[in-house]
Amino acid sequence: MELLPPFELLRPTTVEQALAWRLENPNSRLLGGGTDLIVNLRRGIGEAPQALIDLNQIDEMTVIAGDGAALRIGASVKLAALAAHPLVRAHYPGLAQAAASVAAATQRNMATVGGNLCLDTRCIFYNQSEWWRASNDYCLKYGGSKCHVAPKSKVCYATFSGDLAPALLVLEGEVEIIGRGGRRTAPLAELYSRDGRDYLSLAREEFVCSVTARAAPGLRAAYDKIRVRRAIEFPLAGVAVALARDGDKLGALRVAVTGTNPWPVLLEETAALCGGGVDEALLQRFDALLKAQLMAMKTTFTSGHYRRRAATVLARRLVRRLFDGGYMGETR
Amino acid sequence: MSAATSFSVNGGTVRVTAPPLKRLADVLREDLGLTGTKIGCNAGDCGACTVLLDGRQVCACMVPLGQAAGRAVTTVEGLAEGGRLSALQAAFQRHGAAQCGICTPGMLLAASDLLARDAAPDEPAVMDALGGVLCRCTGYRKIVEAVLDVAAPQADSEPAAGSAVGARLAKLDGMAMLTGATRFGADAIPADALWLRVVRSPHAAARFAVGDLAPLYDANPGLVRVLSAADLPCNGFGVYPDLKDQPVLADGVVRFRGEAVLALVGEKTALEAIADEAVPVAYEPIAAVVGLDAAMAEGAPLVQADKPGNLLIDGGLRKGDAEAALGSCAARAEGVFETAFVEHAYIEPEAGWARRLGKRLELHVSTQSPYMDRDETANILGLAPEQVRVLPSACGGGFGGKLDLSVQPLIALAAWLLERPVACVYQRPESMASSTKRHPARIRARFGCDAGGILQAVTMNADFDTGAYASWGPTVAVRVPVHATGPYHVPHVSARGRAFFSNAPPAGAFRGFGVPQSAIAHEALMDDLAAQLGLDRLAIRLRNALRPGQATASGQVLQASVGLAPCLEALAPPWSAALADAAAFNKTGGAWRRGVGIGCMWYGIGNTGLPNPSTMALALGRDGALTFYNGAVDIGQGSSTVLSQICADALGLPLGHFQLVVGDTDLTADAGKTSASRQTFVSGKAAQLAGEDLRGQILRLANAGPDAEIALDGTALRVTDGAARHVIELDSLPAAADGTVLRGEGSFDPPTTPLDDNGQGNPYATYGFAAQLAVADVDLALGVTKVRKIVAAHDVGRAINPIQVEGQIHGGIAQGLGLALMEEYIPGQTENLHDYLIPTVGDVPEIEVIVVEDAEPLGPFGAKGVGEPGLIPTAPAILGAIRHATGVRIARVPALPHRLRAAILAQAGPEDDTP
Repeated sequence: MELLPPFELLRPTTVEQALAWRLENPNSRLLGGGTDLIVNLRRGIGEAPQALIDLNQIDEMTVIAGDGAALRIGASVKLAALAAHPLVRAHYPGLAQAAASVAAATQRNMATVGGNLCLDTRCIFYNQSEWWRASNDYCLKYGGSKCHVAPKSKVCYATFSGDLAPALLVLEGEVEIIGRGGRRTAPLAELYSRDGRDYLSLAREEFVCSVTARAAPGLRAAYDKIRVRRAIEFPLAGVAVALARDGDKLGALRVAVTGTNPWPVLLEETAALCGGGVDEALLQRFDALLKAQLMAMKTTFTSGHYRRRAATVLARRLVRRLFDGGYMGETR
Repeated sequence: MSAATSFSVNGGTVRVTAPPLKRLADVLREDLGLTGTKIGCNAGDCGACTVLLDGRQVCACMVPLGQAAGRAVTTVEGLAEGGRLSALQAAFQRHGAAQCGICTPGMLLAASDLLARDAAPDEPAVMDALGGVLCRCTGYRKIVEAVLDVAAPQADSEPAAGSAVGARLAKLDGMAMLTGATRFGADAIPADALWLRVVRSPHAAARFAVGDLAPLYDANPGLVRVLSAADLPCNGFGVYPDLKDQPVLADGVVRFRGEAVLALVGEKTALEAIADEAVPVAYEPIAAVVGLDAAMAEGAPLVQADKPGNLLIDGGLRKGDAEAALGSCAARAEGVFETAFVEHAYIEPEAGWARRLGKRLELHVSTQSPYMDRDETANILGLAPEQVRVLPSACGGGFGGKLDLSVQPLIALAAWLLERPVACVYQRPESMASSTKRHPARIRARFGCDAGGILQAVTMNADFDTGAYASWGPTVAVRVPVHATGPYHVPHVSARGRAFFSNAPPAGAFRGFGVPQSAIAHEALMDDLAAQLGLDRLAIRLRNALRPGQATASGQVLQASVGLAPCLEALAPPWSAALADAAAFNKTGGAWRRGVGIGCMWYGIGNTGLPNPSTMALALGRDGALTFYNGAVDIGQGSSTVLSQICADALGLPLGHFQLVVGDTDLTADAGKTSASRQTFVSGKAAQLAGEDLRGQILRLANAGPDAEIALDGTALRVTDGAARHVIELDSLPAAADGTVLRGEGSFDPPTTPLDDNGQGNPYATYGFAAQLAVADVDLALGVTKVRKIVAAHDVGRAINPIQVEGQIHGGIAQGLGLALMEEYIPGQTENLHDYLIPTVGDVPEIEVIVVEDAEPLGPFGAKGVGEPGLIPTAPAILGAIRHATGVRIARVPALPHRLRAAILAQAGPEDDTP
């Protein structure tokens, strides 16, 4: 049966008001587009909050501002607006690609940047109806004590599936966070914990107000993903790559992956790959990095091994494509 | 926690007092009566509820009312301009973009959003804009065509008398679908209705006991009645007269997850407030029989205690000596092919309402089979069939899944006992957990031919997982052996079809009744034989194509309308072109390989070796009204339009005079179920006979010859026979109680014979034939398949309405593509539309339809049927293209990327595992 908890809808118009209400209502949830949250709440996923705090009325959170070097994106900017923004399309094509590839237009017109960055982790044992989960004794992520993906596990492997995070991670994304102490910024990678259950490293009252991306001169970036069908499906794997050439050599390389781990993985040790050309030997070292840092848990109907492999293939292709010069459009 | 929220809807301001978290979709439907906004999943997965919010498309099921405050909402009811269809709606009508109509409002609004920003979008833009709205009927192509063609002028010409057949006519019921006026199962529920919520088993197999219900009643004053097995006069149903094995409410034992255990009846909000765990049902799980191997295992637990070996049916066919003939064949191919449960995924979940009127009961439901619903419901309630009246709502997709009972007996029982209207609308997960599925199959087949590629022998063993109850399992197991050879002439055939019970949802009827599964086997083996002999894949099929005068596997000799050869001949030029294109593409290297595949099919129209009658009536009233009493339910395929076209030309009056009464069991005769591609052929013939009957009566009254022209002018019927003119004043004729003065009737039961012990006989009066090619690109490193093009050549006898014929083929192709590449229902796991994937608009490729008209002498104006044939050859053609591209013969569908990649890897060996 569908649940209809009788919560309150609060609609602040400033971040200060939002914070105040957040502090007054410790058992509240933050509402962006609601494309995931509302569905989950109706399924009885997560504690039923007393209140939903709608962040869409806060002007400063709905603005995209910046230039070709740096971009500040309000957390309540809609994905459709991000994908269509001329500045984003011109200077941050990987980000535009990621935003345009989310779900479908029906979702992108509602879904927000902050919501996508803070998207709840997903698992086939979690994103199900209450009746479904009850009949499976729930799971480690919510309501139960056992992980059905890895029965002996003490941590949850529910997978992060947001498309924007990898695209922003490779652009040195930084989040601006509102909390008790006012505003603070943190590298985007630090927004995420490593556990699918408590997947964000935010304090109870904190929320993301904006995210900043940087595009150094000469940086080439792109995002690509794989899925079974063309729309309304979370990525089996999504990969963002940003690189710069130094003559014939790889000058800088940042790679981030979604859809495999409980957090968006900003690939470590990529600096060691720089300084030489992009050849098969380098790509094999690249494969090894990916294989070591990406998980292969069966949290979707597609095998984890396949998803890790798909991420590896996409990553390699993006590196070749970007290094060779093309960086717009699909890589496949 | 209700508050008043103001916003604008379709230009006017509304003020709604409701909880701020109430879904906008529910507010529109329940508080504002705007039922044009449909609900298909309540989870943002299907897009049926798409509306515009400040001009941008959103799923209204995900918008809390509070977020709509002060904003502008546009629904389908707001699209027409000054009582006229908008250009977009008119384009949808012109192109046949609406079939069942359930996704149409969402599609229109998604397209409106795009067109407001881009008046002349290209195809990728349209695909992107419509990506969030699922359609299960049309295959999307006509929707995309309509959006691209929105600027074209509207043409409103109606065919003259006698020229309706063959005309590219818009659907007669299309306008209502485009304005949101069409009423589906959940759209016209009386305000005073009680609601019914089904309590379902969370276990695939369990014994259970219902505890003391008093606390439940005490805690929920709005709960009026809890129904259990004991309340049912006859607690068994099933589509066969002698096989009523499925309980309406389980009686102490549940046999599949999602089986109905109790029904709670009461106020809607009261039912919503009851938590599952508050209902006292104590389950004692028992070992579940999962899958064919478990069901067939020696000593397996019995799903139904009185069905030894879990066997439902063992059907077979034998012609000649297949084993001996195979032994002497120059080339032999064999294989084992497996398919999954497939969900119908109609966008409209099961829905309806019932009320008791004295000693009679009215059922308003979404159904494919009103007469079967009537008789089954009457049987369950212990009533005479005449006491039950079924008034079908519009049906938001069926595909075989709405042939079986769902809400019918529950709302009927509740309404009968409580003497209140009672409604039930399934949630998406419960629809998917409890409704019938396509049978998973394991098919072992061997094909043998001589050195010239001429087929000599075929053996096939098809085992089907029929789930917990019989449903249409026997139909599948009997139909498949008849079709085992594919549409080819084979002298020696041995085929067997068996269905086994398991603890899964019942597998029932789904577009093709098992033939899509067996076609995967026979077409793969035809490709094998071609490869062995170095023959072109199309050429070997043409060489073996069944011809008039040849006997089928069941020994039936078809004398006419055997159109596979013309289909293949029509396909030959695009086939050669596609092969050349693929070869050129593959020379360029890269990650993708292009392949071309071909699939052929035949399909017996109507029931297998069983009576199959339909009766239609056409009445002229004293007021000049011409009413077509048509018991064939239109589930979106267009039968209301097609049968009217046939009837109009048989009568000789323009279609514009026709008023329709469809499917009402009190007013229309039994036309049989809408399934097995039978309505155009069977009911179409009955409609033709009814039209001719009425025409004959008119001509006799006028003493006119057979070529006379008839015109209806008010209450005057003018008959012109050469120079002779005669006027019949209808209001001067003696009238029946309902005002009818002239009534024509036609019945048709296609000539078939039952199959004998060897499966020999004439099980169908006619067959559809088709050949399709598919072009697909495969990413070898990722196992991803992108179908680029389908060319579909179909012998339909006669295309009564080419738009609808194309629509059926498009829709079948989309479902076939899903079967081949993505659809796999896993009981207890994929019970929603985000884990169970059906094709979206971007997944369906360009489709070219080639209509072949090899007239069927028995059919109306030569027509046969086309409902199922589009689906059947699609998966074989796509799998053939994958094989052509990769060398891999897929033995298990769907060919999901990870599966295809694994198969490519297994073929290449592990050393090739470089990305």
